Amino acid sequence: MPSATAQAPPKEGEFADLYHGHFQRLAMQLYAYLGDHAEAQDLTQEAFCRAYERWDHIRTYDDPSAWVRRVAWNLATSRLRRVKVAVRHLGKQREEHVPGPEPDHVALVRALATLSARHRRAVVLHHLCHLSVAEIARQEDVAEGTVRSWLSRGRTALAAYFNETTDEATLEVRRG
Amino acid sequence: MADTRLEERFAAFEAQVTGTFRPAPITGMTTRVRRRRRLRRGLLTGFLAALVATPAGGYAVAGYHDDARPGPTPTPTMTGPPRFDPVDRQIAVPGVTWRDAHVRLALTDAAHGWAFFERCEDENESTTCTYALGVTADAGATWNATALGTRADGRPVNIYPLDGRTLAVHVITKGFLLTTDGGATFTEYPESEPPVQAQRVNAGGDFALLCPGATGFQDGASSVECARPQVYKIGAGAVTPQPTLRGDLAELWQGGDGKLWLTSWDGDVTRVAISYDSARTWQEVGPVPAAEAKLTLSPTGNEVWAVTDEPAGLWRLDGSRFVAQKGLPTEVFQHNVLAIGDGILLIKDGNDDTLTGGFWQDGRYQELAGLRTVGMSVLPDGTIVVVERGLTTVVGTGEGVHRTWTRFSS
Repeated sequence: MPSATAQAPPKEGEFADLYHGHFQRLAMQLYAYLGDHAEAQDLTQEAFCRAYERWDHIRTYDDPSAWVRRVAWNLATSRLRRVKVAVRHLGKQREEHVPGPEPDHVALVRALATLSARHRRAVVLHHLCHLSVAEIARQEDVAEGTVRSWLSRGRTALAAYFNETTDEATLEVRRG
Repeated sequence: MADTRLEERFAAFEAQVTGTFRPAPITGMTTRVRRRRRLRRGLLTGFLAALVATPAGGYAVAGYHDDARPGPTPTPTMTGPPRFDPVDRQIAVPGVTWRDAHVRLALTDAAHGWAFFERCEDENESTTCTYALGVTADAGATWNATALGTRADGRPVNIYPLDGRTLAVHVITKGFLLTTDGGATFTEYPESEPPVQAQRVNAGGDFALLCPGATGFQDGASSVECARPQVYKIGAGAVTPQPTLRGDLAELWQGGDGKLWLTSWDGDVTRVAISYDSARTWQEVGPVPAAEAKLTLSPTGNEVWAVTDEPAGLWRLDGSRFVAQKGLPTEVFQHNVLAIGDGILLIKDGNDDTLTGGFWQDGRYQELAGLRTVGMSVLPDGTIVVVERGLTTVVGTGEGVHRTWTRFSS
């Protein structure tokens, strides 16, 4: 006799824990890195889709979420290489306008976009993914010293960006 | 000094953005997986159909699938499975005794290279790094110390090795230190005037694709943008006339034979142009029948391949046409497919959990048993460099798939 509360198949149940527990966080990190909310959602979805496809294997790992994160970041890196060329194309159509006030999170995305991909990646992995320097070094196949250098440069550039934009806003207010 | 406001911004970002994404229902995941599998099968079917439709494809089909229509059969060159069995070798630079330093091994060919030691400490989230540099001319059997000293200390650096005697150290935002005598002496260059040697390493040859006003070493907030980059001869300026290749210029490559290869992204195709005369004139070939393809050239420059990774696709230039190839792993990233010559590709599998890699040849991929890699590269002389998990460097000398492997550690 079937039980009154049928259990989901093991695959669905276990995978669901990973999926629902990590999707938002991973997509948020990719959004910071790519600067594109829709792209971040799409790539995160793709990474989890690949995990689902291989779940029988991945579920045996100590940290399946790390696998998903690696895949997602590789997809993002690959996508970013294309964006570099596409941005030139978009640049031809850029409209000049005075940016109005915007939510803080958009300001951070804009600030991150001024960093090189490497520095932005290191900053996002450290401050949003909360990876240690050693973990970032392993993921990016560089020395820990290199990661610390990237973080230092990234933080310095971000701080300078916010100081400059604050100064510009102050000047605008004074002119107004 | 810690920037607590930055931490507050990141925390606010996390709070504001988390929850704004909409993951698809898990039931939809099954459909998506089936669609991916159909796409892979469809690509294979389409590929086979394309093979039948073209003369080259007819040959390939005859060679592999149709016994009733015999054709020339490629001579097998992969005799026995390749093995990854490195011998350990320590990097011992006189006077460098740091036990907690990390080492960047930068080889220029099988015999020559540099070992860059860096020891960094975090203090209130700021970085202080000190460096040491060694050089080898005998494949790492012996090392010599250099006169780098402390001029780069305290700043982030990038290194640009050109050969066994020439290396530039970019002390980021400060300038460059260049040696042309194997590290015995260093000359300083300002940030705005990178030495041509560093520019050549950065560009991978004597020519670069840059926006006007860019040095190639700017990034982030200081990067120079433009609608269409230009081809520059390093040390001489923008070439005249500029190539007129349609589309958005993507990459510039220089083969070991001196030929220049330029690609552009133009909708559903990747356009490719070749220059045999140092960028004076260009001839278009192909195009690659796929968007956003990336080229990989063999070390001699006589083999040219095009790779895409969404979905995975592989083409080889045959005369003036790009001919589709089969057998590429279904998950690769185009920057992890490298031509090593003799019709062989070195590939890092896109499955990031296994970190495996191997060789592709004549439509067949063969994993290199024992290899676990986070990144690979090929030097101008064909030497393979593998970075393992744990960030050790393994060098593969020789030719083809059967290499002599040496693992370097400090």
